[in-house]
Amino acid sequence: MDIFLHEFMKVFTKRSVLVFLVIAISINGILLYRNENKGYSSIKPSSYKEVYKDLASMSDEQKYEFLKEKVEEFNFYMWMQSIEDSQGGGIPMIGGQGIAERYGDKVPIYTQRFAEGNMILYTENYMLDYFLFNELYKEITQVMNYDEYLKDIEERAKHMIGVSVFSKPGTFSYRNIIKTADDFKLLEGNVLNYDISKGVHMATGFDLSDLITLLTVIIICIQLILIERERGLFALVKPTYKGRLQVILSKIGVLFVSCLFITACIYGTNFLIAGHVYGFGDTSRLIQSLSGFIGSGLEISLGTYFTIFLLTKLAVSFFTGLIVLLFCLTLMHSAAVYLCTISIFGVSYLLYRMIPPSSALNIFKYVNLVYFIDAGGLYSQYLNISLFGYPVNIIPVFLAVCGLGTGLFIYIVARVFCLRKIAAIKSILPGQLIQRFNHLIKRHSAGLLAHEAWKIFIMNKALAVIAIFLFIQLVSFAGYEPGRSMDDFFYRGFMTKLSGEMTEEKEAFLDQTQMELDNALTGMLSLGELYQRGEITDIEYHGQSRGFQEVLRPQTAFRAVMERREYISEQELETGEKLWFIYDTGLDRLTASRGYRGDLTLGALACITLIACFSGVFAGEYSNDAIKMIRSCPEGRGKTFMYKSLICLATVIPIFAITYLPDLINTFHYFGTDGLNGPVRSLPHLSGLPFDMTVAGYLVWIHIIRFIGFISAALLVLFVSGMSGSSVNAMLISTGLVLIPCIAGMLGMRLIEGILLNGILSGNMIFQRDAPLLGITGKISIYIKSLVPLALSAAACVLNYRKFCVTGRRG
Amino acid sequence: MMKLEIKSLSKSYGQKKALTEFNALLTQGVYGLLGPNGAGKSTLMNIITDNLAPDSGQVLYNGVNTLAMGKEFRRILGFMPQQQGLYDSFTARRFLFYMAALKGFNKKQAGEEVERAFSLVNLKDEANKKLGSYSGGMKQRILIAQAVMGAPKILILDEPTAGLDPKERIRIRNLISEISFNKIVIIATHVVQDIEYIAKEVMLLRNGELVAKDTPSALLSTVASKIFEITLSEEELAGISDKYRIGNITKDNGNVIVRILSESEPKESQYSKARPVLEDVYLDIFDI
Repeated sequence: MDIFLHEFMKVFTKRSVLVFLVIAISINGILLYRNENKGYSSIKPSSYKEVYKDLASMSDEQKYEFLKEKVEEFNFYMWMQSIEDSQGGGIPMIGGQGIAERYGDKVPIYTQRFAEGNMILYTENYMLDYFLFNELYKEITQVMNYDEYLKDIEERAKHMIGVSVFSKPGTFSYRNIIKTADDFKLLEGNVLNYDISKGVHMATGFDLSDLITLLTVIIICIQLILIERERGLFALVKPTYKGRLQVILSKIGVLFVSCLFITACIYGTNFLIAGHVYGFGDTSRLIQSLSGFIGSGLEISLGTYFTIFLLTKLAVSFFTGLIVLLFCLTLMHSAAVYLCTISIFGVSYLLYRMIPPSSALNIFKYVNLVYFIDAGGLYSQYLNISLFGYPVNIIPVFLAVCGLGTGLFIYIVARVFCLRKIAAIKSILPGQLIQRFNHLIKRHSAGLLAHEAWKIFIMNKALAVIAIFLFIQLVSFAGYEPGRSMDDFFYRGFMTKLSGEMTEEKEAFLDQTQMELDNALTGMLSLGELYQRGEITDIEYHGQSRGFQEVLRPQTAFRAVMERREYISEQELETGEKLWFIYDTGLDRLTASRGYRGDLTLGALACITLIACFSGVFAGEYSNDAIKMIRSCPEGRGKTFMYKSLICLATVIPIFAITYLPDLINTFHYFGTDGLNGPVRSLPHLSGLPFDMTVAGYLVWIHIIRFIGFISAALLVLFVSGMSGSSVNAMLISTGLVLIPCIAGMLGMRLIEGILLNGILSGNMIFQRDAPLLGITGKISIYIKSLVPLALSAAACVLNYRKFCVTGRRG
Repeated sequence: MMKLEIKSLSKSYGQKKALTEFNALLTQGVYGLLGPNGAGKSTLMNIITDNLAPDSGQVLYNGVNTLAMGKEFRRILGFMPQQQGLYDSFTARRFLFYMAALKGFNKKQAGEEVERAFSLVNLKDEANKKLGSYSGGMKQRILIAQAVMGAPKILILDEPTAGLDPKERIRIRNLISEISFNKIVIIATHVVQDIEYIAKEVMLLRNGELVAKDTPSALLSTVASKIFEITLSEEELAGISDKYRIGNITKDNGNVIVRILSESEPKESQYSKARPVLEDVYLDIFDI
């Protein structure tokens, strides 16, 4: 117990750990609260609370009727609005038999309310109320129809067994259908009670909490093992009487208590805030009454779910911590520990994202750290995975993997700690080879630049890290498959033919094609009518329809072309700018037409590389105290600092190339380079750009901005390296500052999508995200957003310089 | 003549005074810096080498502030810090070439200086081995080697013999003595014997204050009349530390010979006067 207490105190009396914990818990709480209140959901929490206050006194049937009536009422207003819009203002004329029948005597009341604008609203406008009531009505309908939902599962199972594909006994599909029906049969007769779901989702669905928890656990692991190992303290501890098994078990115990503490603090904060913002409603109700949980196979109350949720988070964070402990014990270099830890999560994330749910390999999708970390997914949906063709529910699988895995890792960690010798630096190369290599490079350079380069690339392993990054990018480059559809094939054909500005010739072509398609459609319809009337035979119908179908094959692609034609015409009318037809399937990828996940994924990969390469550059000199010796030399200050910084900044160039070249080459190879000279606003999602430039110009600009992002990230990592004085701490702090925001953006957390370096690492975000900066928008805002991070990083570089070169109070 | 003048140096860490109004004038020769842990030796060395800023005071080389001299001062400075972690993946040769680059040597100079330094510290055969595989003593020698490269005019050595075996200790002591010609050498140490025979002057520091600075012979003369050796039985030994300040204790034919520091002659029957050594001065001044 004494050893445990000492180990515990070693970690939790460190000021840096305590400061980090306070910051982590505060950031988590603040962002959760802001995300809900000032996030991107238009309906405010107060609106939900108001509705639920009114619903509280009603029975479930009354709630259902109330919400149904509200949906109807707001449907009416929406309908009124559409008529008003089409008539160009004024009170619309009500007519039509259907409306009168549907709304009966409510028509005059609703009409008057709409005309006077005095509907009872829970939000800022009736449009939002419409969305709010629709959402709640959908939820209560599921709750009220739970019996039917269960029956439906049973009937679907019977039906599917009748389908030839699933009807073979002995296959996974067959067994899964039977098991699913049997498991849900156990839930029959359960009564669901409707209550608020938003609080539960807010408390349990905030992904950033998972990231912060994991980062904190990793920091604890590093404090427990890596820092002590780097300082050579194991040599002191291990020869003592209780210096092996007892010490490592105490460390594992501290890890467990830390996980307990972190889980309680982070998720406890979430529960407190969510309880305050929305409340949880009746916690004794079954979890199927929560929205999104209707498909759960568990017969547990909401209160029990909360307990299980927290235990799951605790178990997964402890399990993850054990893996990191093992890395810290077995890998010689802190950069290797960092890369392996990141890789574990990266590979898990890739498997989780890329394997389809129905794949035969879905075991790797679901028996996966990322899936386990998102504990909500485990319990909200019923899921069986295939184990040797037998369906096994994911929850027992999770319990077995987590339980056995934890036991196994405790054993391995303890064994490695007890048996591993405190070795001096060992190379993986055989001794003779090293001797020969040393002989070859006996003639050392006298240049400081060469020595600093050697230290960064060889001693700090930057060369190996870059090689690994290059390998990953080459594999993804070689394995790239654009997955083009038939529609895209036709779309490309049209756009290539139309490429460039609109001309009379192109107008004529479009009209001609439209006419041909219309004729084919009309012909197809007429043929159908003839067939239905029995005027043509089956063979005649199929024979003739094939011709029409052939003509109609490009229809979907042509519709997209016509939408583009409309967009080009509208823009010309509005701005006078002559836009181009551009084949944009590939360019859409490069210009982030569907969000910034792709940009941020590449940014995150590059950040990992930069952090692993540069965290030790200055920190190494401080941690081994060589700084005093270096600074006592004539060239040991400004020149050394400059060379170190220059080498790192020059290294950014190949890292930048490795990051983006594969993607650019693949895109241009598969989708061509047509349209690069066209105006950038030819791409509809870039219509609001405040710059006149070509598509190529835009691509150049986003890459310039990204390069600024890389330089800023590198300077920031170097600054942290200098200030922290420890490679491991530098890696962790840099991860928090540079990598975590990137990952949060990748996970779709829009509130923090654009923070810190994310904007300039994406490039596209700077141009396309319309959030004003201190009230400034347009070109100035883009310049500021691009250059301020660089300026701040440069200022950080100056501080770093001062610490390295100018003697301070602490030396 | 070359001189290094330390004027009114003071340095505090919060409430703790590490150095108080330290003054000293150093000319060519070896200076020993003695003092218990926390006396301010490393603080003084770090300030002289401009690794630490003083709260007040200055260091002058031939009348010029060393801070103003900047790089020029560092060009004539050799510094061996207390051994910490080194670059374990460097070979010793690479390390010395790196230090040569930091000292601004050209290629030819670097090659010559590195070879000379290896010869001086007797590590030529181990030059291509990684520092991670070096013993503590070898690391100590390689740190001395880097400090003496380029024949610096001011050489500052922090605990140069720590971790060395007796043979190496004598070798290093002689080496320092050899290279000290035309140099100002400052050696901070706990091991009094390291400087006893080679120091021109010894500076004794206590709680950041210079309590004595003189030649070894002058310092020895201050305790010449206070050093005795008394012969006791083992039973009598128990109470002796209450009466005197104790130096070495040795056994001889069933008796115990105790070296003591006493203002007056001992009352014990069997005693003799002893020749003072610097360790006795240390004991006297630091009241151990």
